[in-house]
Amino acid sequence: MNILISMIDIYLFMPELFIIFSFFILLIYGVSISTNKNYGYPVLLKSIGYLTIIVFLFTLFFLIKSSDFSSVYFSNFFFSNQSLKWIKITLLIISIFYIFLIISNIYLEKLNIFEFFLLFLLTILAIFLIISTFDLISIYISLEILNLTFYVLATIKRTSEFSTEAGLKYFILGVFSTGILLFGISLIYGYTGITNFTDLNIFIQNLIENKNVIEFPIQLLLGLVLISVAFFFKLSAAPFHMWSPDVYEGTITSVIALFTIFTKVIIFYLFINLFNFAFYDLFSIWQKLVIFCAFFSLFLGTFIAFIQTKFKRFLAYSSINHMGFIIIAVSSANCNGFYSLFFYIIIYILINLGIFSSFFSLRSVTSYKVNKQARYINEFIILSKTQPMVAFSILIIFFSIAGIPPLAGFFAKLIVFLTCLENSSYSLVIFSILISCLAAFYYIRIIKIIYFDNFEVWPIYLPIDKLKANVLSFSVLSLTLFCLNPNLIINIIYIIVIM
Amino acid sequence: MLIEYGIILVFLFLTFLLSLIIFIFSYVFSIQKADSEKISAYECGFNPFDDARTTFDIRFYLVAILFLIFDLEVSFLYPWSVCLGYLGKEGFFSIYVFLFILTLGFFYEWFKGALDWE
Repeated sequence: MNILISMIDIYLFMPELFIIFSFFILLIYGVSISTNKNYGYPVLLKSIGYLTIIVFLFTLFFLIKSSDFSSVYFSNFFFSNQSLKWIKITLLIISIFYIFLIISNIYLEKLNIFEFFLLFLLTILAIFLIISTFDLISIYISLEILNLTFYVLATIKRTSEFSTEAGLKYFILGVFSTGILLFGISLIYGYTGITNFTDLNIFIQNLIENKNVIEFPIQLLLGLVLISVAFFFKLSAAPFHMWSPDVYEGTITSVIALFTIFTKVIIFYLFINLFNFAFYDLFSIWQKLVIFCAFFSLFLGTFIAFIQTKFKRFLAYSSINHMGFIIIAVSSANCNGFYSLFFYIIIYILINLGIFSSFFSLRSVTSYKVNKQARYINEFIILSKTQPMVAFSILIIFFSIAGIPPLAGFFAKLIVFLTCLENSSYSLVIFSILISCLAAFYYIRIIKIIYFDNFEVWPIYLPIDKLKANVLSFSVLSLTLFCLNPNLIINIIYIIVIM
Repeated sequence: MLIEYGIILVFLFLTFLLSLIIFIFSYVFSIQKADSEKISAYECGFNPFDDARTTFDIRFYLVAILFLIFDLEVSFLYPWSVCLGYLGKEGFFSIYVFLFILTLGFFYEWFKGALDWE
């Protein structure tokens, strides 16, 4: 047997290879200096944070300068094409903004562990591996790298029992869902003997080709259902969403920003790769699965979010609602549908960056050197008078989530609805429009609490610091000015989808 | 073909039934009259001196996990060394990569103080 690693593999793998080597160097740098008595056990958090930004900038340089050709590498386990290049570029830019958000937040949260950014570097590596998989086995391996780093990140605040409980719940449920994923993969492999996507595509085409009555083999169907169960678990789509409110509430805010911003894009890209390329001919089956999950997510996400009083749980249910919208877009297996999907996800990421930089900058000082973050929705009262600019940014972000024109969220929902109408899934669109009207209520209720409620004791928060203000302004400006010149986002998404 | 698995189903059913019988009958048919002497902890006939529970020292768990990692590393070395002749020069250098990554992990745990047994 010949192991072939040629130069083209190294060339296509160069961004990930650079991230791996920089991870090694940063790991040795961090651990050998921060445990050194002569240097006084320094806290290397900010240093490694800025160094990861430099790493990402170099990787961005690699990616932008790489040539555009489509190829599989590492003996058909991974693939690379132009769409992948652009989605990696957008993810790197978003992660640079995320690091800006985190560096300013993590000192206030008193989490001085430098391994946070190293785990984030590993997360980005895992993300790059997940979106370029071309084989069922490499789905499992790359998803497991991501899962393992997320389990550690969920419990990184070791002094908080709340955080360890949430991380343990996430770990147990995540391991369970990985078991289900493996079961599905093994069923498909057991029936067909094939793990590569192209081979699966050809196999299933030949299975269905010249038949009048199509009988789908039960093992393939069961494998499909189990794999999509695992993916829907990771996305926190109902009915596999029970982990997300507890985990969102328990883990610290910096890590929750990571969970909401990054997992959705990659799992959807993986979903589309797998289901639209390998299992394209089983479309009539996975479309029903997807529509069932969409209905459920929309319904549950809206109605449970009405009664939430804590902000992070509210955010979890509202993200389940958004997943419902995006899953509607998945159910149409054409390019328009995937275009609307990625468009919605990019707007969703911008909105989340805005939410995390505005709400989670609200820290109140209770005694000397002890600050605590606003946890309940009722604590956002009278923000319009104490911090008017932050309140205005929150206004814009929430109007955008609720889908009010001319902000970007409206266009995202509009395009999703239009592509579904083209596919004649009328009941789905009517249901989701009604649900989005109901959902707009609880977003606007928060704005009412900020602007119109009155209370005897005014909660006063620390002013927002510079890095967070940069991220917040980027988010708000891109949401408002999107309607004037949407070219940048639209061109990138066009390239991502067409390839 | 699926009929051959029927034997396994019968086997599963019978084992489940048997263990259920043993478990439930011992609970239902025994006389349970608990008084304070019967349910207290047994310490060779004496009254117990101290609480039998201490806090679990996390160092034991850490040693077990480290053993797992490095033992699996060694267990990957064995088949590699046996079939090195068939692997060619790429096979020779791939184990360097594997060992290098694990050595970095070893440096990390060394500097973090996981190997100090105080």
